[in-house]
Amino acid sequence: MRYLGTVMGVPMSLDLRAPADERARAAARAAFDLLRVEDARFSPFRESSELRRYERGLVGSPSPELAEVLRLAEDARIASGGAFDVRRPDGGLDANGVVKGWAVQRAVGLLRAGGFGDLCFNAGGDVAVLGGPEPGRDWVVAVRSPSAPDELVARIEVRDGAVATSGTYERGLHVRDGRTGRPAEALLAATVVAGDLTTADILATSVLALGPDGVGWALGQGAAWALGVRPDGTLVSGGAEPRRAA
Amino acid sequence: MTAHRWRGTFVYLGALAGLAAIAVARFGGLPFEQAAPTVAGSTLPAGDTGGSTSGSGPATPDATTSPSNPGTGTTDPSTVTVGGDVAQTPYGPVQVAVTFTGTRIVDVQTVQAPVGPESSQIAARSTPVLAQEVVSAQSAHIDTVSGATYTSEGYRESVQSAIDARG
Repeated sequence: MRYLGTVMGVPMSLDLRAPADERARAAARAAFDLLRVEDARFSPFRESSELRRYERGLVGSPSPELAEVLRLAEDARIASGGAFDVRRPDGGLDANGVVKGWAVQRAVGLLRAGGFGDLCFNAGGDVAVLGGPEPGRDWVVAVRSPSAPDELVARIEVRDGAVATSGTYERGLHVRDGRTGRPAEALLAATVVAGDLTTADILATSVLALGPDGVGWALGQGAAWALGVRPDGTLVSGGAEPRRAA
Repeated sequence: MTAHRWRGTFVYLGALAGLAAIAVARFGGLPFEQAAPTVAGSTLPAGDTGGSTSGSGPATPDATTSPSNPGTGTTDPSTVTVGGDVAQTPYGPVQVAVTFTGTRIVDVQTVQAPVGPESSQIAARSTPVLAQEVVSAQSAHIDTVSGATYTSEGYRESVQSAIDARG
C-alpha cells in the first residue's frame, strides 16, 4: 500500500509492504503526523515555530527535538570543517539540511517500532528503506541525472538504509559553502548512501558544499557510498566494495 | 555519524532513458489517500481497469476541462485533464494540468510557468520530475528515485487543486 502526503513543502510517499488493514493505515497516519509536528516546530515560514522563536531569543529551554537538531548541525559543521553550516550570514538558521532527513528517519523508526519491517519512504527525493519490497529482493533506488529527469546516473540496491541526494538543479544554488559563504558550485549533485536518513541527508548536503573532495570525506563519516556529479557531467564516487545481497 | 548496518549493490547507468514512458501511474490522490500496490510482482486490485494494457479508452480527452475552469471532471474511468489553480510563487505564477485515467494521474503538464533566465529553468526542470515520480513507481526495475528536493509550493498547490477538482 502506498500512502501519499505533502509535508515540509515536498511530496512524500510511504510504500508500506504490509497487509492494507486498519493497523497499517493507522501506523502510516502516525508517521505522517509525526512529520507534520516536526514541520510545525521547524518551519522557517511560521513566525510562531520554535525555530523562528529560537532565532529571536524567545526560547529559554529548547525542546529535546530542537536541541537534537542543533547538536546534529553543530556536529556536522565541525566534521565538515565549516562547509556545512545552518547559520545564515544574517544570523538566522537554515535547518532544512538537517530537519527533513532527521524527521523522516524518526517516522521510519516509529513504523519499525510498530512492527513494520518492509517499507520505502521517499521524502521529496530523499529515501529511507527497511527490509525489501518482496522476499529475496532489496529496494532498488535510482539516482536521477542532474541534467535530465528521465536519465539515471546510478542504481542502488539497499536494505535497511537510506539514500539522500542534494543538488543545485531544482532549487538553484541554495547550498552555501560555510567556509566561504559563497554558493556551492563545484558539484551539480551529491548522493550519499548511509545506514539512516539523518546521516545520509546531512552528508549529501555536506558533500555538495565541500565539492568533489567531499566524496572521500563522507566515507569517513558514516557514508557507505557517495557520488558527486561535476558540472561537466563526470562522476566521482567512492565507497565500500559492493556486496551482493543474498 | 557512525557506520551503520547496510548492504547493497550499485550499478552505474550511463543513461537509462525512457523511465517516464513506463506504464501508467497509479496515484491515489493527495494528501493521504492510498494508491494501489505497485512495483514488480504486485497484482492489480480488482476493479482496476487502468494501465497500459487496459481498454479503458484512448488518450483522446472526451471530457477535458479548461485549465482555467477546474472542477468539472467526470467520474467515469475515461481520460480527463483537469487544470489546477494558478499558484503565485516568488518566481511568478505556476499552473499545471493533471491528466487522470479514472482516479489515476497519468500525466502532469505545466500550463504556466514563471519566465526569466533562472526561474524558467527551475520550473521547467521541476515539472518533469514530479511527473516522473508519479510514473516511476510503476517500474518493475526501479522502486523509487532519489533526487534533489523538487517542486515549489506553488507547483504543488496547483497539482493539489487539480486533484481536488477531480474529486
